[in-house]
Amino acid sequence: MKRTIAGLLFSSLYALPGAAADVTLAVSNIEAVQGELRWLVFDSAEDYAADRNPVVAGRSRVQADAMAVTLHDLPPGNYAVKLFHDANQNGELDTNMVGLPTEGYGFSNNAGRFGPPDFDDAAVEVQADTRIDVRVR
Amino acid sequence: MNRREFIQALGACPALQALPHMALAAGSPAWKLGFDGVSGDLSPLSLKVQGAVPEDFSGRLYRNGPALYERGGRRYQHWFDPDGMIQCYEFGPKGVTHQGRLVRTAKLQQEERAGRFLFDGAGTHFADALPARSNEDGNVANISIQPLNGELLALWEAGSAHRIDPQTLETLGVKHWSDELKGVPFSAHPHFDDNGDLWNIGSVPFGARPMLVLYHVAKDGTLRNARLHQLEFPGYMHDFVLTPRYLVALNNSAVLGAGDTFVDRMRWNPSQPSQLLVFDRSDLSLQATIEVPATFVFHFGNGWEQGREISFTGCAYPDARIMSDGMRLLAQQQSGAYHTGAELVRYTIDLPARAARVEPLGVVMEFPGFDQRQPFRAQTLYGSAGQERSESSLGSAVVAVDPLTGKQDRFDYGDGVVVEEPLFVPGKGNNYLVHSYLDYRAGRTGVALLDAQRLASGPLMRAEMDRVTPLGFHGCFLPGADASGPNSA
Ligand SMILES: [Fe+2]
Repeated sequence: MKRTIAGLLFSSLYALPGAAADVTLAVSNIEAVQGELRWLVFDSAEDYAADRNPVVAGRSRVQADAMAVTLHDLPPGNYAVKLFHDANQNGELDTNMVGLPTEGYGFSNNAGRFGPPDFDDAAVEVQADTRIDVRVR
Repeated sequence: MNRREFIQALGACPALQALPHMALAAGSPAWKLGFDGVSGDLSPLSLKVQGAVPEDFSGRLYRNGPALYERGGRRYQHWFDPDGMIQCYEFGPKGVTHQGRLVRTAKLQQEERAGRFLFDGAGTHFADALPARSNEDGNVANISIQPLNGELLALWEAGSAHRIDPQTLETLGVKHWSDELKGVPFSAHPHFDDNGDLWNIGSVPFGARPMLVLYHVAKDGTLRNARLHQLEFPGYMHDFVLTPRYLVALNNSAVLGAGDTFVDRMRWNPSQPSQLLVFDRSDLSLQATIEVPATFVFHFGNGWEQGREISFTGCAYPDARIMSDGMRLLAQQQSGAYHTGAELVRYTIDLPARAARVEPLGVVMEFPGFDQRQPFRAQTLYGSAGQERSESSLGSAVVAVDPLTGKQDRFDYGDGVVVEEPLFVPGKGNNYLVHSYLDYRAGRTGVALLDAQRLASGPLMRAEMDRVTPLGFHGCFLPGADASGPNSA
């Protein structure tokens, strides 16, 4: 089975009890074909809010304005995804002088109208193989 | 009976007023034409001239305003929402021509491809609106157009300026000042000093903390300085005042709270005094914060200094209904009790005493303008007037006011005409006032020229076209007899 870097990272962190599922992040509306897409997957509101202890952290070169990333063998649970398009590959979501993002980003459920959504709004229940669509904003 | 006679007969028959479309017509205000909007660019058209264009008057009047009101069967509900269109009136030996071109913002292009509005407007929420990355996604570039270093800038107030080609009206791209200013609000009311440098504010009430950015741009278009200030409260700010040494902004008492749209969130709060913020031009540092009674001002006249005093004028509303209600009803093409008009007031700041006087000048007016050759002298202000008695709540007159005495000169076009922002244009002998207007009874948009020293004697020239163009906000006049302008293409 072909595994992504994220999948390898994940499986090294966890010993899996019970049925695990593959999650496909279907990412669209990437502004420019350059740089990297970076994603973080959280399974708790606390970690999500603090950007701590992601269950998956991954990155991939952007080769089209849409891409699919498979995260393998996640145990059943609620997950929220944050991702951003690191167009200049400096490892950060760039912001301007007033703190507003100048690179693309997105959340699972495409949640959040004014700023980042709460974990509950972004969380997706994973019991079986699941596709999560994220439109980069 | 031909079609026209038939329609006239229908109108004379009260029973038929009950027909649904007739009922709609009866309920729609006559001025609604000014807010119908366009679906695309307006091709060049020659205007029918009454009177003559004076020999020493040539050049182009550029204007910007909300224009694209509908897409995919849905309509914006607030005057601030629609995508901006640059309209150009060209005055030359061949007469007067007009054309209009939508600003090709990223938003417009995305929505054109999608066939629907994707994002919320400043005052309209769509249930299926996409979440925005930042304020910049909603950039409709629809408030003003001003020259800078051989180009034009189409200005919004909550995002970047867009570069416009003065010859073709084509959108050249987003104006880039610096990496850290990418997507930072740049207001629609930059002001020029006596050296030609541009100064501006950028209001960020919607930031994590409310902020104001100040800009100083050299006349060659390069950024000299930009500085960020925290505000004590997230009030609305649209314009500011430039004086020889200072930049004065007013943090209005319409304050950002919760709500569905930016306009909904900007709530009038009479218990929050407004604040005059005085900044030193040399380093953009804050020198004083001076409270004045709660007010709502979109636009200021020019500023001057005398001894320890800083003076300027502003068009002050007693509350924010112009933005929360008036501009909504206009875009919805609804009659109603709109709002109270703006009264011209004179502010005098005693800087060492950290105190300010606000004195009414006894005239209701909007869209104040002045002779930009002398930006720092107490001088006549020109504007649109008559809002307090017009059907639409928009001005039907042009007015000139002395900011020291309140003495007025005016010409009123009367019912059925909406006067847009008048601009002062210096001539060889006379000085002129030029403005576009909508004659909504005749269904024609036009442009008029008056002797700035003798407004009461009425227009020297009027030129009209057989079409109505959307009512807009602000613009500029660029003199010159260049025959290869956009409208001759
Ligand atoms: Fe304005």
